[in-house]
Amino acid sequence: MIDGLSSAFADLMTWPSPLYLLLGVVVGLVVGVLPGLGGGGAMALLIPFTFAMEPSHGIAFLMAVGATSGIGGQVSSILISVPGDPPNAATTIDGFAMTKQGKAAEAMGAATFGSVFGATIGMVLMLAVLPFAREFVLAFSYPEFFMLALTGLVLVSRLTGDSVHKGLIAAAAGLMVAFVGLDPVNGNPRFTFESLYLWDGVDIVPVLIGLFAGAELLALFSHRGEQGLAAAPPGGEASRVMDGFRATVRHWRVVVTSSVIGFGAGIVPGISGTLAAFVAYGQAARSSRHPERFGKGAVEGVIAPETANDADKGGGLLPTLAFGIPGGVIMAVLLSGLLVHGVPAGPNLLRGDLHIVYVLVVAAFLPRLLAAGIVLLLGMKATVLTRIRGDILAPAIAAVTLLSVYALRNEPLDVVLTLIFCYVGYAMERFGFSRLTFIIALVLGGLFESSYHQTMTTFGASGFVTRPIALALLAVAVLALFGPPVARRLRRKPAPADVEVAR
Amino acid sequence: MSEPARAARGSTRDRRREPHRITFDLLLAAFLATFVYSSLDLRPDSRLVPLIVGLPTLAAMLVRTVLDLRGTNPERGRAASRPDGLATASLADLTRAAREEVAADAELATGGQELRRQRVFALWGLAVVMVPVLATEYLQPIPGLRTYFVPAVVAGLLFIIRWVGMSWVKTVAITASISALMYLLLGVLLNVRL
Repeated sequence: MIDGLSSAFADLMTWPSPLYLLLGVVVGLVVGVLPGLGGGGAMALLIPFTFAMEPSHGIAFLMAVGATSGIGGQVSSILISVPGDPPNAATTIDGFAMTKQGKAAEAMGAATFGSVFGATIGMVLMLAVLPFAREFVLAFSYPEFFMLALTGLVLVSRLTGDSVHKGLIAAAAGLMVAFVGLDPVNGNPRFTFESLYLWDGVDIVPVLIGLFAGAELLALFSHRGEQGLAAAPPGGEASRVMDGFRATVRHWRVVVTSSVIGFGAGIVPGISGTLAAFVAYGQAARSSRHPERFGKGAVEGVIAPETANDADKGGGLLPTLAFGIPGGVIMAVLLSGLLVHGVPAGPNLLRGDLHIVYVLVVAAFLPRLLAAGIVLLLGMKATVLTRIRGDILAPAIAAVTLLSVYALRNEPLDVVLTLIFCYVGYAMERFGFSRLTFIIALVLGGLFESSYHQTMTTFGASGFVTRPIALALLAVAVLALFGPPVARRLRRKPAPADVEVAR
Repeated sequence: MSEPARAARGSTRDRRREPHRITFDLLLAAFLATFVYSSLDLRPDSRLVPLIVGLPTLAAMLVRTVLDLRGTNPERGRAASRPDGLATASLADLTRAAREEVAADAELATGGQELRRQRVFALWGLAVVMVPVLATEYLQPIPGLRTYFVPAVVAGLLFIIRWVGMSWVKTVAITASISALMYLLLGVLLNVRL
C-alpha cells in the first residue's frame, strides 16, 4: 500500500500534473465560493478538457476540483451565510454566528483544519477498508452485481428527489436511455430510431454536462450574483486562524466522531455529504457539555459538519471504486470520468492494478492541503468572488462548454444532445425528479441488463434468491423501498391498550 | 382518509394545477411509451429487460400524471429547509433536513423576473447551438473553420452580455476575453479545429 501511494504521488508530481492539480484547486475553490455552480457541476463541465491529459492526471484533476469545492463552500457559508454547496449548509448556522461575533477568522481556521483532519481520517479509513472490500468483491458473481445495481438505484431513489415514486421513475428513465444502442445479447441495434449516431449508445459526457450544468447555469444566470452581499462580514483578525486550529485539536472527539459519521454516510448512495454534515452537527450538539451554545456561535458547530463533509469523500470513493456505484453527484461525475478515460470502475478495477485507486486517494488529499493553505491566506478576501455577476459568468461558461463538447468527437449532435439534456435537467430539477438517480441509472444500465441475462443463463431465476449476498442485497432494496412507509404506518396506528384507555 | 391526514395533504381547494408540470409528465410518459412500443418489434431476448423496466414505469408515470392533474399543494413539502432544534433532532429529522437542503439548493427561482431571464437564456442556448448546426449542414463552410460554432458563439456572447445591461465597450471587452480564453483552452490546450 505504501509503495502504491508513493508511486501515485510520484505520478502526480510528474509535470504537467502539478499544474493540473493547482488548476483543479483554484477551480474547486472558486466554484465552491460561488453559490450556484456546485463541485459536481463544475467537474462535469471540465470532463472534455481532461481528454488532453493522461488518464491518471485527468482523473486526479477532476478529483482535485471535487475535493476542494467543499473547502471553498465553507468560505461563503461562514462569511456571508450562503452555502456554496448543500453540504456546507449546516456550517452556516454556527459559522455565520461566529462571524457576527467578530470571530470569522477563528471559524475559518476551525472549518479548514476540521476539513483537513476529516479528509485525512476518511482516506485512512478508506484505505483500511479497501482490502476487505477487495476480498468481498471477489465473492461477487452475476446475481450479486444485478442486485447491487438494483439496490443502489433503490437507495438513491429513496434518498433523492421529491419522492421515491419520482425517484424510481427517474431511475427507469435513465435505464431506458442506457438501453439505447447495440443490444448486449444479440448485438442488434435497439432504440436507435434508424440513426447511426445512436448505434454506440448515448454518450455519457453530453448527458452528464447537460443534466448537471444546464439547470445550474440557468440558476446562475437568473440571479445576478448579488446574493448574500447584504450580509457583509465584520472583519476578523487573521492571526485568530490559529485559535481555530487549537479549537479543532481541543475538540478532537468531535473530529473523530464526525469523521466516522462522514465516512459511514459516504458509503450510502444518495445525499451523503449533506446528510453527514447534518448528522455530525446533531451528534456534536448532543454530546456537548453546552448544547445551548449551538446555533449561537459554537466552534464545534463549525468543526463537526466540515469534518464530516470531507470525511464523506473517503466513504464515497469506496462504493464508487469497489462496486461502480457512486454515492453522490461528485462521485457520479468521477465515475463517468473514469469510464470515458477507459478505466473500469468496480470489481475489475480492484482485481487489477490499484494505481488509479491510489492516485485518487492522493488527489483527494494533496489538493485539500493546498486549498486549506489558500483559504487561510485569502479566505477573508475570497467573498469578492460572489460579486462576479452570474449573468455574465453563465453565458461565458456555457459558450466554452458547448465548444468543448463539440471538440470531444467533432460531432455536432453531441452539442445538440447536451442542449436537450440541459432542458431535461432543468425540468427534472424544477419538478422534483432526481438527476442523480437518472445519471446513476444511465451508468449502471449496462451492468444491470448484462448481469440479469448472465444470471438467467448461468444460475437460472433461482440465482437471485439462493446466493446469500444477492439475497441480502435484495433484502436491503426491499427494506429501503417499503421500510419507511410501513414504519410510518405502524407509528401512526395506536396500540390496542391505548385505545382501551381512551375509551 | 382521516381528517388529520386530509389536512396534512391539503384540501382539494388548496391544490393548484401546474400546466408545465403536467406537460413534463406527459413528455416523460410519451418518451417511455415510445420505448415500450419500440420494444415490441425486438427479439424476445432484446426486449425482455426494457419491457420489465418500461411497462411498470409507464404505469407509474401515468399515475404521476393523474396525481399532478388533480393538482399539487404548493405549501406541502416546502417547509423551512432547516428545522428548528437541529441540535436535538432525530436521525430521521436530520435526514429530512439534509434532503430538503439539497432540494432547496437545486430549487430554481420561478418569480416573474427570474423566469423571464431563464427563458431568454434557454432560447439563447437553443439559438447558439441550433443555428450553427443547421448552418454547418446546409451552408458553405467558412474558410479556415470546420463549423459555424465559433462565429455563433461570439455573436451569441455579444448579444447576451449586451442584453444583461452592459455597455457596448464592456460587452466587446468581455466577449474578446472569453474568446481568447476559448482559443487558449480549445485551440492551444486541446488542439481542436473548430
